[in-house]
Amino acid sequence: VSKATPLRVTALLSGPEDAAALRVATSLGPTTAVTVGPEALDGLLRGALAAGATRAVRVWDDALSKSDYLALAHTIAQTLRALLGRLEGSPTVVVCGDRGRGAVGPAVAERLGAPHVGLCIGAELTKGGIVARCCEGSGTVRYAAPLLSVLCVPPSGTPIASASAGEVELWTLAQSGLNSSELAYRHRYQPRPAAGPTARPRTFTDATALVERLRADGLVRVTT
Amino acid sequence: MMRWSTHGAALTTVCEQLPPALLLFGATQGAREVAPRSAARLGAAFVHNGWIENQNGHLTIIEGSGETAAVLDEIEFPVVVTIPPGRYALARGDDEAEVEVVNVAGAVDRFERVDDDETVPSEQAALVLAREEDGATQLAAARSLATALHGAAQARAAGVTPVVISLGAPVYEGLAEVRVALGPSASSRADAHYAIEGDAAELASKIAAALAQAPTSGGKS
Repeated sequence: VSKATPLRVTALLSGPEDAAALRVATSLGPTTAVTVGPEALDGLLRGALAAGATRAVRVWDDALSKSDYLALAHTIAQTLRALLGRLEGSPTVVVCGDRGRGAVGPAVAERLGAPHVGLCIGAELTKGGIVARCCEGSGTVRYAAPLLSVLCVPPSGTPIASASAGEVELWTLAQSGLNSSELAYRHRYQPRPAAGPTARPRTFTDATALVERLRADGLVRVTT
Repeated sequence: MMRWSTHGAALTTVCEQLPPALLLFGATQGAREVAPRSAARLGAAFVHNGWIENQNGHLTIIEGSGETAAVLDEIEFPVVVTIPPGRYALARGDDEAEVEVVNVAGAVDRFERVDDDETVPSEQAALVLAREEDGATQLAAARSLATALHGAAQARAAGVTPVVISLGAPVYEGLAEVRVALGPSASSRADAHYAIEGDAAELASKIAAALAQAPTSGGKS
């Protein structure tokens, strides 16, 4: 990272609970906040600007309302390329919130051909790349990777407060170098709301059998 | 813990050699990182916290449970699904099963482990709840149980539901705790993942004793 090739940081936000992702991103450098969604998300992006982001971009097209996680990831990846230019080999960090299904962040990494890491709670730049601090087991572990990299950050702390001031750029699919027909093949499968199976505890009559199952499910610490 | 950097290349290689229609992961913290990336690489649909049901000979995939569930009639394969703990009976492997070792050619772009950083404790603390009125023996058993299950014990005031053990569960994603209901209390079972029948006052010590024994399954599951 140098003056000639400044670090580019992008925070992918989908809701106020992504505040931790924004915090990690802004701790690394000037951050562009990006979201894919309708106008209702402008308040979130203005809140991100108030919280330290330097630029806010919302991408939307009605075709995206029927798209699945992979189409969203493709859209985000193409938008980042349009926003930032050549990404491969450049000092770029993408930080995304990791909530709900948690599918979009890893899928963006796949579309960018970048390494990604989850359960990230902090990161710092190094001479050759980035070091991410991640929850693992009962502690934290540090992982290093070159840039371009994707960090997935679980929610924590105070949510992003919606704001009414600040400029949000609205991007069309065309500005991202896409058209809606490219996304048509990734239509979201339409769920049929229905009362599904009810989760019930797996019941045991014997303590040994319970413990064996807890062990099999990885819930018992292995001691040596 | 499973990470894309450690398991991604192997999963990719196996999926290229044996393209799956259905790829299932336990809904662990590791799977939260690996499963969606695998789905993206396969171009697969992704279902979080799913059920796989055979209904009249037809494979049905359901996301969520109870009143908030959604049946995914129109889903196209391949599908990657994560399954929460305790949902299904353990599969039993065959002693004569053939294991094929696959060479992994090349590596994925990845994060490399640098070191453990113990300066920042995990935010997810394990907890076993026991009644203060249960006395020292019961609390000692609860502490033993909690230690074995990644955590610590905490006494609760008398009068609360006494028979739920709450475990901090860094293993499973999206779960602040995995709950084991002790004894017959229906109220404590309503949101438990595991339950055991019997006298609640004796169960903690029995479980602690079982935990002290070596595993008997030999890893066949």
